[in-house]
Amino acid sequence: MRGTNENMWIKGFSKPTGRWAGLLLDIFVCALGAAMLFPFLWMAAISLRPGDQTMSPQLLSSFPLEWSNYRTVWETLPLLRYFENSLLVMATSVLFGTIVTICAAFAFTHFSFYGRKILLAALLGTLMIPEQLLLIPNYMTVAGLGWTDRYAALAVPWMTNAFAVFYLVQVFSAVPREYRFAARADGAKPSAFLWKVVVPLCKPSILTLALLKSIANWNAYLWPLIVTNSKEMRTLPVGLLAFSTEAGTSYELLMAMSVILVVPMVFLYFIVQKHLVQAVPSAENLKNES
Amino acid sequence: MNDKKSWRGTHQAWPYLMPAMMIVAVFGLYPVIQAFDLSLHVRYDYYRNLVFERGWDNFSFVFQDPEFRLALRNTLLLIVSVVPASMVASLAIAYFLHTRRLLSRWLQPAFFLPLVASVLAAALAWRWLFHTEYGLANATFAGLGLPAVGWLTSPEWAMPSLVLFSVWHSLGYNVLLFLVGLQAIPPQYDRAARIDGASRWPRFRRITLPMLRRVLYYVSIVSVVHAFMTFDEVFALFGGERAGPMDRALTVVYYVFRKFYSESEYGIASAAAYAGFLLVFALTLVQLKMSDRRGG
Repeated sequence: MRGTNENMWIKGFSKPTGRWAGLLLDIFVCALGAAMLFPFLWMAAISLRPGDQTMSPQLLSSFPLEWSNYRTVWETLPLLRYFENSLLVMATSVLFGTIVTICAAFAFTHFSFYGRKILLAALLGTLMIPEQLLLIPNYMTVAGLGWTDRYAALAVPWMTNAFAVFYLVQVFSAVPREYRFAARADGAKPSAFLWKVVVPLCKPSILTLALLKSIANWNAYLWPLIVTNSKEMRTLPVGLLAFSTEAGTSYELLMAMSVILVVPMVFLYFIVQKHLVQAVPSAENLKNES
Repeated sequence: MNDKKSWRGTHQAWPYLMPAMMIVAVFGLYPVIQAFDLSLHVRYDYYRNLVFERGWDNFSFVFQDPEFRLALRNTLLLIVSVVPASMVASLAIAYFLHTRRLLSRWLQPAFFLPLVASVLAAALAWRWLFHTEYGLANATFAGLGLPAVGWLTSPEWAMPSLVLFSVWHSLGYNVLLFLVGLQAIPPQYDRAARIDGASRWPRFRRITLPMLRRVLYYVSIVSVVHAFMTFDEVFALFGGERAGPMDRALTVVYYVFRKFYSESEYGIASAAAYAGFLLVFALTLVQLKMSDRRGG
């Protein structure tokens, strides 16, 4: 909030007309924000309507709200199973993926080793490749490994990629060299330096990466659709996809299912929100840690 | 151990590198080679893993296929419409959020929600807004005295609807990138100009924008790549069975998906994916050249 105080101090210098223009701008951007939220507002509203009023043009068309839509969805779909699949896949993929990525990025920034340049070049090469190009061969690989319809197929292939490694290499190389020298002088092992100094220092960036991974993983539907056959292995998005062809015009149920799919990620976003935009390493993060 | 290559360093580094490199090699690097090989398979039996003939026929088929041409045209249309619209809007929003910190704490989530939410769920809500008879878009049109529009049902409106949805969907990510860029600009310059009496627009034009140049180039490249990969939006918005009415919203990646998933034409799908990849790669190179020339 430092910035706000400075703004107030400086305000006397700007022209008085600026204030009204500023107010108009405030209102305009608030309206824009509301417009961004609009589809979600309708989603929530329709999910609480009785089945015969989904097409009403009024936002709140009827009282009392039909909370029973959610129970109907719960009873018609194996939601618990979908949740379990989604959560399990996301948790393992993000947890192991982040650890693996941290280790690789640390190796690139901390050690001088033979083959470093070649490895970096190979990674750089894969950076530009569209995910959809990988879809076909990866499907064949997974099928060849006998992973179809297994959790491994959902969790392993997208654990890490060149982008994630590069991002953390950039972040880790911003850690001052003095820390490394100090750690070495104190006789700390590389692993201790990584987990006790580098990781706490770069926590916001690591969290940002983990959040982006979680979102991508939770919302992924194409890959899970391709590598799963049985209903028991469906994740939430695949469940919604299947439901949207089964439910036909039961918009209120579809919207309820959509809300169920969206809400967990919104929660996750709010939990890590305050770290997101300050994703630059700073000594403060280290202080908070100890 | 840090400054000179050594076997000691190599031995220490490999345990850290191995897991990530294995995953990248198996699921990131190997498929690129395999996809290229697949694109050359002309006659093959996938189930018995036999290839009878290799050649360039898949590529010539793809470039002569009117469907692929339509997909290419649509994809280019998406790039020239969605990228500028989304960038201008997101830069304006990010600049505003940056200057009004107090308000931005409450507004930021609104712009990030489309980024966080499943595209399937978001598209369901949009399909409802775009509904020809009951949708809010047409209700607003009626209020303004305009005729109803078949947003998702008439062929000529398929692309405009897709553009609208894509811009909305891509805003959050660009706003996030611009916000990070804006916060990296030292505030002294802007403050000095303010004390000198410069008003908002010149300050933005002469200080903020030049200092944001690197981020602008980065966002433009990422946006072009994203627009080129448009698939989710089409799939979700038009219900996953067709790429819009009469296939009018067909994109390159959707074409690849259909050839692969519905028609099991692995060779043609890989050829199309490679053709698309080479095109976007060329486009990115042009962009990089431009940024070099202007000293970005």
